[in-house]
Amino acid sequence: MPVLAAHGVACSYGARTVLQGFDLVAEPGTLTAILGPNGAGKSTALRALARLLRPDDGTVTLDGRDVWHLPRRELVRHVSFTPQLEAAAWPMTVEQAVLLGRAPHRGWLRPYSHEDREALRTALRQVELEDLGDRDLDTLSGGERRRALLARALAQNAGILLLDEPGAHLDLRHQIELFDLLRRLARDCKVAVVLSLHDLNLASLFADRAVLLSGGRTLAQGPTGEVLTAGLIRQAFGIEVATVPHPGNGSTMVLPVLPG
Amino acid sequence: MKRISGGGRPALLLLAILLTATRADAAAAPRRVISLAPSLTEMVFALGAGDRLVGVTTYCNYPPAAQRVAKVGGLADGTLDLERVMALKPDLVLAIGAGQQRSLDTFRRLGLRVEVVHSETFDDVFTALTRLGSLLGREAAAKGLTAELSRRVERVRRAVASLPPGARPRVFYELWDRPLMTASRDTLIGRLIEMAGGVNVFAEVASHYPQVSPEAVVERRPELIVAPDHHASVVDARTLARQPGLASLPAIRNGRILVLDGDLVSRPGPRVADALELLAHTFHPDLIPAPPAAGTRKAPAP
Amino acid sequence: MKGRGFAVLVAALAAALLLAAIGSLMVGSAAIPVGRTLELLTAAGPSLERTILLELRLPRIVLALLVGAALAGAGTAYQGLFLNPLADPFVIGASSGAALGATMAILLRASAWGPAVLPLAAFCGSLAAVGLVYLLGSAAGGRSSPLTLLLAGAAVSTIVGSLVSLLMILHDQSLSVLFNWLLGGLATTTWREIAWGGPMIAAGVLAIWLLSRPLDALGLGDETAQSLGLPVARFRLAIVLAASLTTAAAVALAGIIGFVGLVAPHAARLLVGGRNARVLPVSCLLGGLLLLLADDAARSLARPQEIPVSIVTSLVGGPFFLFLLRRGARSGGRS
Repeated sequence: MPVLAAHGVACSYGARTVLQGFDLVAEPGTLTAILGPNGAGKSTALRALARLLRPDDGTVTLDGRDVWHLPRRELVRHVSFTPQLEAAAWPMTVEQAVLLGRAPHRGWLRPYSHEDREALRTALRQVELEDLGDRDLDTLSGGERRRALLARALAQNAGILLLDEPGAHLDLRHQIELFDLLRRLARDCKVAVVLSLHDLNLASLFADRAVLLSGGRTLAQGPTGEVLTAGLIRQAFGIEVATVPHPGNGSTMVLPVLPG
Repeated sequence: MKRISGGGRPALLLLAILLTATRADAAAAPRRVISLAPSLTEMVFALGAGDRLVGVTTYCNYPPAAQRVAKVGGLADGTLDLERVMALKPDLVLAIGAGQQRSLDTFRRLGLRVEVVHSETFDDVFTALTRLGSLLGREAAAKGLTAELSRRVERVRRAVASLPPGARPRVFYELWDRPLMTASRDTLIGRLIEMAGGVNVFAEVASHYPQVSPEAVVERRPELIVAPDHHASVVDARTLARQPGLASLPAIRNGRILVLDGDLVSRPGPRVADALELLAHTFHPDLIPAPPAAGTRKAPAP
Repeated sequence: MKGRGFAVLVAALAAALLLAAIGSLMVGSAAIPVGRTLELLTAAGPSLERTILLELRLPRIVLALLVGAALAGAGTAYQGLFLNPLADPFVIGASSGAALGATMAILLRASAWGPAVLPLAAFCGSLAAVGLVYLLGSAAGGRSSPLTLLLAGAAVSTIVGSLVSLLMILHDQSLSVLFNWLLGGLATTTWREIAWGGPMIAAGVLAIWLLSRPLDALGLGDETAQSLGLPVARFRLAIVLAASLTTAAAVALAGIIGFVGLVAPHAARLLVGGRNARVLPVSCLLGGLLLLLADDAARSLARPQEIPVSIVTSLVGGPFFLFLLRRGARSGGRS
């Protein structure tokens, strides 16, 4: 399994620096959560990792090779990126959307093969959308759409999954199902999962490692329990919290403390 | 073989001559002619060959007999009905060429005889008549017509040449009202105005039919306005006076407005002499007698 | 729509097209009885009626099908490129650009250098216009949104169109030539023209069809397309080239004809969904059918005058487009 890593990555939009000194190693078999308030640089970090944004400083490597020196075609066989929002300009069925995930392997001209259809079926099964293959994307609920996006990433069969806020706008049940699926993928298939999310408690429950960003800088990085401390959270989010162990499994739960 | 009796021989000879003559005649003069321009239609009729026309455009309205000829479409590529032209089986297609190139190419390709007779300027009329005369086997008629037209033109020219300097009125030709458009020197009407002893106030403009502003017109102080009646609407001093800015013109206040049949001055055809005489008489009534032609009205003073 | 349903639809459209073509052979002011028509096609020996059928009506029908397919194909590509259902070769400026190129060629008398000059000039004009639209759209706000591109397209189309009008007015001696060329029409085409225009159009449409999957991916946004490994800029360029080639050929052959490139892809999407590999062939078939019927109307409604076909497509296309919008507001695409 190839390893994706960021070394001292810095990115800016025009004059504004949005990310500095970002380091991360996407270990196969782990789920890493990138945390932080809005504007902290979470999306930027993911896009830099996904070779969608060119860093001004630092490098992103795949097995030691700079991703910008790799042909994109080769990179996307190993790295998939799932955006938070995706608007389809034209009606597209779930099947068609998920099959596009096979493009890195099949190319853009050759018809899809048996192998591609197998990958499609497996992916739909994993996200429990097998019966909705023929439906148009825009007839799906928000949660089903999310799962379809994930199915595409799965069909892509990449060893490294990058996801930008995959749980946003999902109800709690679907969020839990989604993160559970991702964690199982990591554990069972040795996939490296890196995702950004807002919910610190979900991060605590599902992520092995966490990176806490604030103002583009990394405040802390390591096992999730070590990162989610009241002091660091105060520094990053500017709010007071109390941390308590989860009654079931002992993970650190974060509870906001109201002023006064 | 029986001996042909003496009385029959002259008859046979006569028959032989007649047959040869008819055949030669058939080879020379086309009998089924299609005209794709109103000016050419007028010329064909003027040469006495109007009965040979089997097809004309929807714009061919003069002489009145032309209106009874079958119509084959408009003036331009894309409005001509190619099939109808073919179906009429013409042995000669006459065209002026502009804007019909592709249709003419198609006709030639399909084996029709196409003759392009240029008729754009005043001088073209004479060469066109001569050419048509030879194409239609009406050389004598052509010669007579061009001679008569030349005579009439020459009479006007001599009268105008005798004018003292400063006696030429400033003329504004209003081609259209909204937008306000006129004609420059390089048009038929522009030339006619000059030949008739007038001064076209917009002679020097580059475009043939430029759009002008009322201020520009007022600036040039035309003493006389000439306007075509466009068949449909009634143009008179009142409507002209209602044009923004023009009401102040002496030409309008003095009622020196000539409204005439637009075809007369836009079709380079046999009626150019009529047009010339009409204009010359309007500009210099004492110098040139009133022409007998109909189809014009002088606008009453407001 | 399942694969089998799609095949049935295509077959049905092809059959309709064939019927329409045969029917169109019967349309014309020279009254050729229906029974005679088919007989004449196979008969030997020249005759006036045969000439009319084979040299006037048949090339016209073939051209209508070709140009209709070309405009529909280019429209599908431009809509996929600009992510906007209102894009068609006319709206995007490709047609106006082609017209400007050709106008300049006509004014410079360059068309005398050879028959390929006019379509080549049209192609360059088309490329330049679409390129300008793209530049303007991208410059307007960092990442080019489809709406910006459409506005840029409208602007360029208007400006270029005005330039063409200006050239025509300043050279009003050539006005009639230019104007007539612009209004175009299918009537005066020759088999020779079809011989070079046909392959150009076929090549362009084939290229667009090969680019169906990239068009699908682009429909999901640049980011998604890139994350799937699509070299977005390169494929955009390829699509623009293919679509402009197709448009230029159509404009060079038949002048500016609007609405076909707008309506056909929409109707196709309503029938087969959004997948471009399917939309394209259906769109081309519909485009050919639409233009053929429009041309039949153009030469029948106002006899003996012929109405320029572009006027008919506008008259019919407008209300038809509204009808499509009402029926398929959801499937019509969103920007």
